[in-house]
Amino acid sequence: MPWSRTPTTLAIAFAATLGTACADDPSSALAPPLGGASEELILVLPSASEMRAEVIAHRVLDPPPDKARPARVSQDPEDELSRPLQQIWDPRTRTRIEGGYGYALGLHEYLGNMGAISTTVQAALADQYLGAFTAEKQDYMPFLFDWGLIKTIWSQARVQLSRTCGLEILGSSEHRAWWQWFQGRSAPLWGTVVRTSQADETSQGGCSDGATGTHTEASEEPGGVICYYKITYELDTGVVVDVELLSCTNAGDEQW
Amino acid sequence: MPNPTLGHRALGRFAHRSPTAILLPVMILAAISTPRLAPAQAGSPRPIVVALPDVFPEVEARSLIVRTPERDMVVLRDDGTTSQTLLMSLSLLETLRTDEPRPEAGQVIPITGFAVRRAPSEDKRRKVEATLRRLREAPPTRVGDLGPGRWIPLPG
Repeated sequence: MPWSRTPTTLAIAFAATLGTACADDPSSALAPPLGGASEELILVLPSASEMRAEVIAHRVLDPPPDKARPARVSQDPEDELSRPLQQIWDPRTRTRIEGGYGYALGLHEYLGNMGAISTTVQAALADQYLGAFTAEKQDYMPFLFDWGLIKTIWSQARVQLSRTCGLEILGSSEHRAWWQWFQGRSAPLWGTVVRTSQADETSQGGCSDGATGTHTEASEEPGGVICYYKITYELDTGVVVDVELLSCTNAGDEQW
Repeated sequence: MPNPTLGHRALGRFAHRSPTAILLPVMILAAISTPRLAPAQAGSPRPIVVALPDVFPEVEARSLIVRTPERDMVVLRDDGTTSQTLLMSLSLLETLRTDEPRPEAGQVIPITGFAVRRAPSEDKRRKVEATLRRLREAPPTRVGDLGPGRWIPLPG
């Protein structure tokens, strides 16, 4: 009988309508309607100091350096006598592109119970600066246990290169060594030596003709290379929880 | 032991029901089991806001992209921002949206630099310049933690 089924059918129809409406609802919480531009925008961000690349660099420190080696013995007694109590040997920076990354590796050997190195990798396209990332490291040996050991310190900065071509990778380092009684800002220090090194440029290559520099072929969307890094933070507090490496990618749909 | 006669009778009753009565339960099950779609998947675009704070954060960046679960935002510098800056920022935002339609946490993406290999069409450039003009003429207000500034919504 039709009437005997009607309440059930109506209930089913109502439930189906309700269920469908819930599923299709854009869930206004996900995308609240924006008010007028004169309204105050609610936005929590990390502090500017937290977002700076040089601060972030401290969070991507490399693994511990090689073990300290015995003091280097000089064959020249005069050299031995004239050598200062601190020294930096063979400061160098190398760049390479491998496996979708551009690397700058800085390295030096030093005498002193404190050593530090700051290595910067820089991406450029046709001499146009795109971005840089710095990795820093500092090593400390208690002054009384140092015994004039020659130590090695290194740091490596890298940039991710995805779907790009023709980028140039440059690298540079600042190498430092000094003596310090103990760790701390107020600790007396002496004999600071600072050296710098610059790596030869490494080019990514691999571009088709005409894609290595700026040109002005008109299109609906622009194309090019864009470099950025991503900081993830807690929405309610602004506390930074993760920082990704500097990354350079192809922007636009242009096919090389 | 199962009674085949009873099963046959029950099937017969079911077969005599109207198609509506059969289809409706199916619709209910489909509606309930349909997962709630993200706005991008559901076709409702997430809003984009373009903001111009009076003071740009002390970050080495030509622009910033800020992503939250509610919206995506492009933050521009008051000095030296061109239509290319906005276009390239929006282009990167499109890539990021493809990779991650709706981030669950907050994200700040400083754009350290870009190089344009292919210029946009004149029409596109004019539209973006009009957007920038509209942004500069927007009433001053507060842009969250960025402080005083201006902002306008863009179609997602």
